[in-house]
Parts: sequence; C-alpha cells; structure tokens
Amino acid sequence: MIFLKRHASRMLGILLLSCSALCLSGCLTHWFVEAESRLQVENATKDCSIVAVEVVSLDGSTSKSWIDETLLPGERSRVEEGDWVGEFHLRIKYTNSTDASGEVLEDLQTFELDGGSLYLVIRGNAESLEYKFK
Amino acid sequence: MKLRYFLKTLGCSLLLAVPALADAVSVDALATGGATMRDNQLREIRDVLRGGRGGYLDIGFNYMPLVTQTPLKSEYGEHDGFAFRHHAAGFGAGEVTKNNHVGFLAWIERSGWDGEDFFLFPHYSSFSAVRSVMTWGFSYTQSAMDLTLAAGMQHQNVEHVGEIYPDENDSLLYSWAHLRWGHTSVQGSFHRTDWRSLRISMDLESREVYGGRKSGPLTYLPNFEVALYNGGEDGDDSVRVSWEQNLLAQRLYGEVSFDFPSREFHSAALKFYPDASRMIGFEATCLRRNVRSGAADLLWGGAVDLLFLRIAYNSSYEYEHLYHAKGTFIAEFKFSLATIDGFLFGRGAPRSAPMETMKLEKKNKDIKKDNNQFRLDQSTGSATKTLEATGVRYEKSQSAGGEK
Repeated sequence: MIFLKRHASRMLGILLLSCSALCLSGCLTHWFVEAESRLQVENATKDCSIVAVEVVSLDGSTSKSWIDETLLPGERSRVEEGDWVGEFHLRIKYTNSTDASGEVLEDLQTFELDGGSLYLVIRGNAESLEYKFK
Repeated sequence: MKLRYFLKTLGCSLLLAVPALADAVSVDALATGGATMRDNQLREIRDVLRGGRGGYLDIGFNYMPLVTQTPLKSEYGEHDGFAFRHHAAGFGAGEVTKNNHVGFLAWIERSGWDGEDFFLFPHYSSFSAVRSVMTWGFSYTQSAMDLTLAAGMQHQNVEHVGEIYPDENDSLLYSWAHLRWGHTSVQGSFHRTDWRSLRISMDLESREVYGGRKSGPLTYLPNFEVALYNGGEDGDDSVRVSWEQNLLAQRLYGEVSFDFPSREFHSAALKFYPDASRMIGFEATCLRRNVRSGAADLLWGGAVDLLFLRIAYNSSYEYEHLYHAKGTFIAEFKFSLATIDGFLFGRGAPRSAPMETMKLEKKNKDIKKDNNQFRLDQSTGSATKTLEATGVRYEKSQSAGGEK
C-alpha cells in the first residue's frame, strides 16, 4: 500500500499514457479503413456477357471465384463480399454474345481495391473491355 | 533545444516516408512466427535471470497508422493490413530464507497479421494469422553460490490461420529449463522427449548491477552465445554463434553473429546507450536476409529506443520479430524495466540508473532540517515557534490555584 501511495502520480501517468496509446490504435482506424470489399459488377457492354469474375494468383496457377453469376448486357450482379483489400489480378470471363453462349474469353487486369463498397462498371466490346469504379 | 529539433525532424521525415516506401511481410515469415516468438522469449528470460532475483516488467505493442505499411504478400497479390505484435512479461522473486530466492515468471505475446488493427478482437479474414505464445515458470536462486535454476512450460496457440498458410497444430506444449552458475548459463527447450533448442551463454562481462565491477578491464570481457536449433525431420540442425562486446565504458556495444554449418554472416549491430542503464538506446544494424541477390541481401537499418517509445527503420530486430517488415518506420509503444535491490535498469544493462540514490540523499537532508526546527527544549528557539494548546493551559492554571 505504501508503495502504491508513493508512486500514485507516476502510475497515473503510465495509465494515462497507455490510455492515449489505446486511442491511437485499434478501433479508431475503422472509421476510415475497411478490411473487406463488397463488389457489385454492372455489365454495361452492348454485345458481351460476363460469365465470372475471379481473383487469380500471381503465377496464374490458382484462382478464387468472386462473382459467380452470368451477367447479360445491362444486368447487375448481386453484391459479393470478399477479403480482397490491396492489389490483385482479376480475371474477367466473358463471351462475345448477348446470351452467354459461345467461346469463353478471358481478360486479366490488375486492380487496386481500397475496400468498402465497390461498384464496377464494365464497358467496351469483345476486343477490349473498359473498367471503371463508380 | 537540439533534441527538440531532432525529434521534429524525425517526426516530419516519418510522416513523409511512411506511405511511399513499404515492403510487404511474407507468408513464410508468418508461418514460422511461432518458433521465433518462443526463441525470443527464452532469450529475454536468459537476460533477466542473469541475477536470478529482483523483478522485471515489460509491456508493449507495435503501432503502424497506415494499412500500406505492412501489407501481406500472398500468392494472390498484396493485401492491405497490419502486422501486429502485443507483448507483456513479468518476473518477480523474493527471498524466502537467507540467500534463497524463489520467483515466478510469465512472458506473453500475441502476434501475426490481420486486415484490421485491433487490441483484443481481430477481424480474422481469410488471410489473417493470429498466434499467441506464453512462457511461464518458476525460478530458484542461491545467491551465495550465484546459482539459478528455472523451469516451466511454453504454450503456443493458433487462434486463426488463413488458408494460404501451411497446416499447423493449433495447440503445442513445450517445456523449458534454465541453469545458470555465475557467468555461464544453459537453456533448453523441449517438445515431449525431443529437444527443440539449446542455448549456451557465457556472459563474461563484469556487471555492476549483479555485484561486478563498475569499470576496468573486466567490464571489457566478451559475452558469447551459442544457440543450437533442431532442424526437425527433414532439415539439418543449425547453430548461431553471437558475440556481444563492450567497446567503450559499457555505453557502446558491438554485436555480431554467424550461422553454422553454412558459415555465413547473420547480423551485426552497433549500439550506443547514453547511460549504461540502457533505458535509452540508439542502434545501427545490418542483417543478412538470405535472399541471395548480392548487395540487396544485406539490410541496413537503425532504431531509437526511448524507454516508452521505440522507432525503427529496417532494423534487424523488427525484421526478425515482425515478419520481415521493412522499408517503413515502425513505432512501438512500450515500457520495460528490470529491478534488483531497489535499483532500476533496462533489460541486459550492466549498471543501474543513477538518479535513484540522489533522490534518497535529498529526502534525508530535509528530514534532518525539520527535526532541528521543532525541538522544543532548545532555549535558543524563537518565540514564534512555541506550541500553543489553550485547553491544556486552562486546566493547569486551575489546578495550580487549588493548591494555593
């Protein structure tokens, strides 16, 4: 007890310091940093069908499906959540037809995903797709 | 004034350099993080048990404000997130009978990588790795013989590992034992009947805090450490030999370590402590990263340690203990202090902090002065300093009147 009394002010100082340190880290950053991406894709092309959107490993050997839905021209996908925040290769599988028939083509793109709600609009034609986040 | 400008410059350069230059932490380093944590805790216990008595307290956590400072490099790309390390440690020993000290120690660390920064509850994403290691044990010290015996258990628990990491047992139990006699100590770590590591230390340097010399040639004796690691069923056993050397008045130290059987340089450091109690330290380090690419293989860095705060850039300690984090300023809020017979010092320090004794002297002087002022029987005492107690005076005068 004597020890506690004698060092009360010093201990209070340490306590305050650790409290302020607590405030600096942790939950505070969650106000402006998201650890998940919620992706919705809109097919804004006129003559292409989007078959799937996948995340591909850097060496191309493995992939993980993200949007597993066929989008005809003008359609929008459901919102899919994924732990993808950072820089990744996305593979967009599509066909050069309005009814998802025919040969499946692929386009590989590198995206910088910041997390949170992402609305990806795909425009262009079968030769070159254009991507824009809204 | 100079220090203030230095700190300001440091702060500004930190803010400017943080987002631009940061390299990712690796999956491999995270996968082997458990072994690194266990080894680090045993090494710290070796340092603290050099005296075998007294106490030790340590608490700390890394702080990185930006998600881009320690991203994770996986096969899919670079994930934004935080490498984290929270640690706490405590040791306390008491004298049970004359010269016999019994103590208890506990080291706790929780570290890994997560998509969010947190204190208690991680996000646990598909790419997180959250692991904790606890080392505890009892110690017995015979201070007349300068002998310490300690033993205990080590728990390694995996809270969460994403699918990109190799499979790992979620709960591992190790045992450890430590024997010190004078300047020599032997430490072993075991899993069931199998040895995991063995550390032989010869801390020949004379340290005042443990009853050695304050200065002189004996303080310039070297400290050697030989650590053997079990390579497991497929790997070869390896040995790391380290040499710590006092270069100037126990304020400037040089450290160098080599790996065997590869006979390769591992790391070197130059450490400067303004006071030998090691509460503040400056270090420059060089580490071989084993990436085999010529000059880039060597990582040059440094750190400033200010008792409550440590700021490091490419320092070998952070590279090895924070999953190969480099290319960014890493801050650590921390507090760590060892004590023996009421004297305070940093872990591994040869001398205690000087301010403690000065304080006591000043206090004693004040008490003496006070005693002189209030001595009542002194005839020379001034009138203003007499004690007044009106009630007592009244009673006295009444009884005196009765006698007359």
